[in-house]
Amino acid sequence: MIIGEPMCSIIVDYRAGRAPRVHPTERASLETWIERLVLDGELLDDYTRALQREFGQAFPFACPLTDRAFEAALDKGLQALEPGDLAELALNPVALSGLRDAVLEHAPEAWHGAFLREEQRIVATLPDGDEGRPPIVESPAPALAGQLGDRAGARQSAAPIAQWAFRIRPGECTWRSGDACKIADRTGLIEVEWYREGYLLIGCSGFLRAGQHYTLSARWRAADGTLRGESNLPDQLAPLRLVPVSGDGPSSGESLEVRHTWRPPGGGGWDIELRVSF
Amino acid sequence: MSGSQVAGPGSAGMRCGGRSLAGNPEWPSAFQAWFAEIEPRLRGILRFCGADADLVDYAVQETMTRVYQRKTQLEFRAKDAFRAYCTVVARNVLYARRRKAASKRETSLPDGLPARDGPTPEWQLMFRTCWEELPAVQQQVLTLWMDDATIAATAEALGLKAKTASRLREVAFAGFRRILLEHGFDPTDWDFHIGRFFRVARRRQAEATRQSAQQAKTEAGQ
Repeated sequence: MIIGEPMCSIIVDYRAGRAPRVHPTERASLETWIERLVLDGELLDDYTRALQREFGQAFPFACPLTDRAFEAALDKGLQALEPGDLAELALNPVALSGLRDAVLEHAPEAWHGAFLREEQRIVATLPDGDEGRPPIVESPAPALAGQLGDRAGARQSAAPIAQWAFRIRPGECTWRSGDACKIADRTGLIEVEWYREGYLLIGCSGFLRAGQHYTLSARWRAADGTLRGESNLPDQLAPLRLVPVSGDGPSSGESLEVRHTWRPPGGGGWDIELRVSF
Repeated sequence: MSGSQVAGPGSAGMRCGGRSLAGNPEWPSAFQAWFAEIEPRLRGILRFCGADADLVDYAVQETMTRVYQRKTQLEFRAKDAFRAYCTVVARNVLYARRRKAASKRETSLPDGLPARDGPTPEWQLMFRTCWEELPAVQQQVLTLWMDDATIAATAEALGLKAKTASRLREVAFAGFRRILLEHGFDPTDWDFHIGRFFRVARRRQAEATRQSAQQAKTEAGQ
């Protein structure tokens, strides 16, 4: 698995020898994910490494987009791509890089909405009440940007039925190793979504990011402390998926115990714990 | 575009040193006015992304330069889209700068070959192997400046319908990126060592062209 639900389906298809395709209910999530990859260089680099790990030296797709698809994506946005083209693009780091170069170079009007959404995602990781925090309304709670679905219910397919967002400062965490002072001015964001199908998705960003050298673990506790579910996600740029023993979603008084570790190759990093309540 | 430099107003020797760039006389007044509105917010965002004062200055300057070279503010129907574009560009500038600093410290190849203080002989050997896998015509596209006739001929050789220089470069860039990634190069290698390689190659070509023209002029004079 590399990332969220749409990518899982696409890779399963590919592994099974079928042409990658996008299920209609997953299209909006996939478009949002690709949009983020195109606009966030760090995310695209992480994702490219993930594809390198997944496919080694044999990328399933590594040619540039055709002229037709390239122009469509640039001039009309990802919505203009055929489902097959969109699925192939998601597995193609070379085409993603090319599209990224062109979108940032030309800033086509079809991507202006994407710029605004990406700006909101950036702003969502900033602290409140500072001059750096622009007055962008964040209601309802942001979805797990890109990985899980679009925000604000603009696209209804595969939408979560409940969402929570928790802004975390380093000083609010328990530091088992590492130094909170070094990132005192950074902020992390934990976004949680509950889906009708009976699972919880947890996405982290800011200093609590996922990806290579990062491990995200979570335990879901009932109000009386009973463990409702737990999951662990090492070295993957993906949301954490947590399926409870019983099918009910989170309720008031319940909580998540989150552990985030960063182990960079050169040493250092951190191991921190925190708790958020629903 | 990665690895390419574009000349333009405001790109030469512009220093801001913490001052607002909106006052730079090289920028058209309308453009300055739009930037003046977003600059404090941009600085705040960069600061809270962990950039120190120098890095904030650099990122704001670089963002303004890039945006000015690419788009006029009037190409954005609304100021918020312009502001959002600038924010996205600034965040990428910040990331690229940090990545550049990190590339001097980190190993850049997955098998552990050290790459401290620039590419090692092993790195260069592997890079050259990749480069030689690239078709000659794509090598030319990446390292030579071409006039329209050459572009058209090259496009035909590559089987491309689009005959613009930018599309041609995109395709050639893509070809080389593919080879590098398939050989296990880290994606961050692209923008630094390889972008530098292209720039050096183009500079050499420009110098060779200049010397050739000078020689022809001298011979004509004789």
